[in-house]
Amino acid sequence: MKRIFTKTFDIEGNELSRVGRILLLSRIIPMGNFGSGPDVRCFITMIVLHYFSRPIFWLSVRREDDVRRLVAMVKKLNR
Amino acid sequence: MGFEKYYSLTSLIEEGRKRAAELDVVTFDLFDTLVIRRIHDPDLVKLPVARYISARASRAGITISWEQVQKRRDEIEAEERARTGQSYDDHEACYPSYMGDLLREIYGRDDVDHILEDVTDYELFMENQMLVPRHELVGWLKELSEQGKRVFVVSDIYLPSEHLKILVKHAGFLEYVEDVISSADTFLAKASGNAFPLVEEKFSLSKTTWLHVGDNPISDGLRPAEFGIDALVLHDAAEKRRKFIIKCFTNYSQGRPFWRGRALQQLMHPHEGENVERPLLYREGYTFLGPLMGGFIQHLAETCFDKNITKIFFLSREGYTFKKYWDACMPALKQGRELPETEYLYVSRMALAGASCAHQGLVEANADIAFLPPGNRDFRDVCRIFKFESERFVEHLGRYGLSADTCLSPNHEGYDEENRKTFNRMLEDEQFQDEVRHQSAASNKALLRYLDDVGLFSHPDVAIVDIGWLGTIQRFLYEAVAHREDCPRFHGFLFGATRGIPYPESSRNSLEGVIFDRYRFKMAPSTILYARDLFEEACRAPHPTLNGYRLTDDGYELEFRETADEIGQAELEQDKHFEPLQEGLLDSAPRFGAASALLGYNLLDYRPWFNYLMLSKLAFAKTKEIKEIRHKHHLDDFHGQKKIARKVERRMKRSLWDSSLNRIRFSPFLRSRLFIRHLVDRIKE
Repeated sequence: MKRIFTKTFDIEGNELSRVGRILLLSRIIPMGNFGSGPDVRCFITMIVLHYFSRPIFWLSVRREDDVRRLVAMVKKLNR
Repeated sequence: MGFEKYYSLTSLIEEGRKRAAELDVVTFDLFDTLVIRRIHDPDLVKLPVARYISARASRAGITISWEQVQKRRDEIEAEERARTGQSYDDHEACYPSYMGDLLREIYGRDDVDHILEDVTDYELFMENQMLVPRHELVGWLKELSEQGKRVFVVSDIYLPSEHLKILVKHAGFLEYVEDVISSADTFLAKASGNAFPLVEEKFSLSKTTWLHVGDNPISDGLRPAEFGIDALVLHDAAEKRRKFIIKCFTNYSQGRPFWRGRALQQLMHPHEGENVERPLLYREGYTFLGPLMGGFIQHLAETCFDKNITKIFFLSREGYTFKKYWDACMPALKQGRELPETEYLYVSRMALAGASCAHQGLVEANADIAFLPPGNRDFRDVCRIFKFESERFVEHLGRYGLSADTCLSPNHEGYDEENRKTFNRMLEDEQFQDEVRHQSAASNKALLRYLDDVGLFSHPDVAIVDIGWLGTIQRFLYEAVAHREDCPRFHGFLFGATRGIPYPESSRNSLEGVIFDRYRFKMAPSTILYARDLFEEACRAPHPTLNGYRLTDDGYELEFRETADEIGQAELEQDKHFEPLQEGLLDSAPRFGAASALLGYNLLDYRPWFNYLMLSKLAFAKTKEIKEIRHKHHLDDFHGQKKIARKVERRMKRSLWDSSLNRIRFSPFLRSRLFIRHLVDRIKE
């Protein structure tokens, strides 16, 4: 007995890690159309968000003002 | 007086409970406090409403795209906010007012009250589908109410309190709340702090024993503190993370079709009190079969709207689940369009086989269908399927040197191709066919009476919906009624079409495999062939199969199969085993409808993700999944019980879902090897 929605906000029994495995395998065996795939950058972002983002959000709600300032600074530098 | 921030619900409620003894009044913010939204952006809920208005306007002969509707809604709402801002501190808007203006503009007339009512109902319905009460917080609210505290819900939103009460009622705590206050009614909002004096005066509250709980540091923290009441502000990191994840999936899905199905599933997820522990079968029903079924039903609906199909017949017994799924997801998906009528039609291959011969006789293609299942061997099996009395054919068989026991199927020992050719020649014999027509006339007449009753002949275009695989039921059904002048055009929709025997398609009788169709070379959906029985068993109705239509003096009777024998008992056992799977599947239906309506995608958009789902769950399924999900029994009368040749049996057992658990667990690269073999077979086809 398990919950459908896991603690990492993923689907129980169909986690992103499983998606990754099948997509890797599809590089070796032709498996069909994945609509140009998930894009590596998007996939890594989702992996990070699902599995490693807890401390980031823990910190961000406690240091909201600092995070906001940091984001503004990064945006300014990118410009 | 001041406000404190809490970073989890548990710590906030703990603090609230400590203070409860000194409190008389507790006011709660509604959105993101007592209830959360499945979607990250509340404005996205407005999009299906725009589609609803656009479709409804189109029914009235007005052409306006949903994007234009949404644009005008935003503009009119902004104008109203600007007007309010001239007289009040808060730039608030009131939904009935600006939505009425929008509808008057679109329809070009003043009398839009009933349209506004329908649009409001749909908007609130969609809101309700997206809202989930926060289990712990609502529990505390109920606790406070039971302790005799005065509990209020105060919200800054464009919906008036009458509408908010509908949302609160749906969330299940209206009875615990003294009143629901909305800024849309008075244009005095929490954001400016003006809502608090209003509530104080209206309900004669005392500031010293009043606690406010919310999520916004300004509206729910600073403003009440300035007014002189205590406040607790929730800053929930987990909730922010959840929202950020759905935001990323939704955004990525716009550029990457692969993520569309994943975004759909993320939106379909159960939250809070809904997300309880479930068995594996329920989870697979909810997260695997449910979305596939939803894609199928959505495609069916869209085709019906496009082709002006006015009635859908869901064929028993799998149609039972299809119809239930349709009923549950269509309120969200119809979006202002007129739905076709639906009917659950009691049919089966066995019941229709005989009735289909009443006018055309027994044709070669139908005889071939009878010999497809490996358990059928000779003319006795043909008689069992088509409900013929075999004794009355002895003379006809004798004329061609055949007997009722002559082996006619290549799946059995003793098969001689010449015998089959002779049998096919006999099918051209008029005397033989006269006997066939004579024996099937009564069941055909009874069938026509039944079909008259369910209104098959009252519509020019009808959809015939079944799970698969050859379209035999639709074929038999059409052949049984094709002679009538009022016979409608049949639009067949199969979940999966394996097309073992070519279907006689015409402009009046078409067939389409929606999730899988052998006529379209698509690798991933073809993995449905790994476990066809799984889909059949998962969708099967909890009633026995139909044996036939019996003609009576004043009408007809539907004859159902007895369940006392071995096959009947095995079916009951299988149904019981799959109960959680079917429950999960059906529970996913309303969530699919709401999520898909909100995202605005269709089956074509979901296909890349569905392709992955089918590969992962069918061709590369985990051992424990196969162990739990695969059927225990799959028997039916059509398939016959004759012992098949060993080489045929061995071939059948080579597939992943029919292999032993030890082979699945320990055989190296089994799934990859079998998938490559499957791939080669499909290419050869």
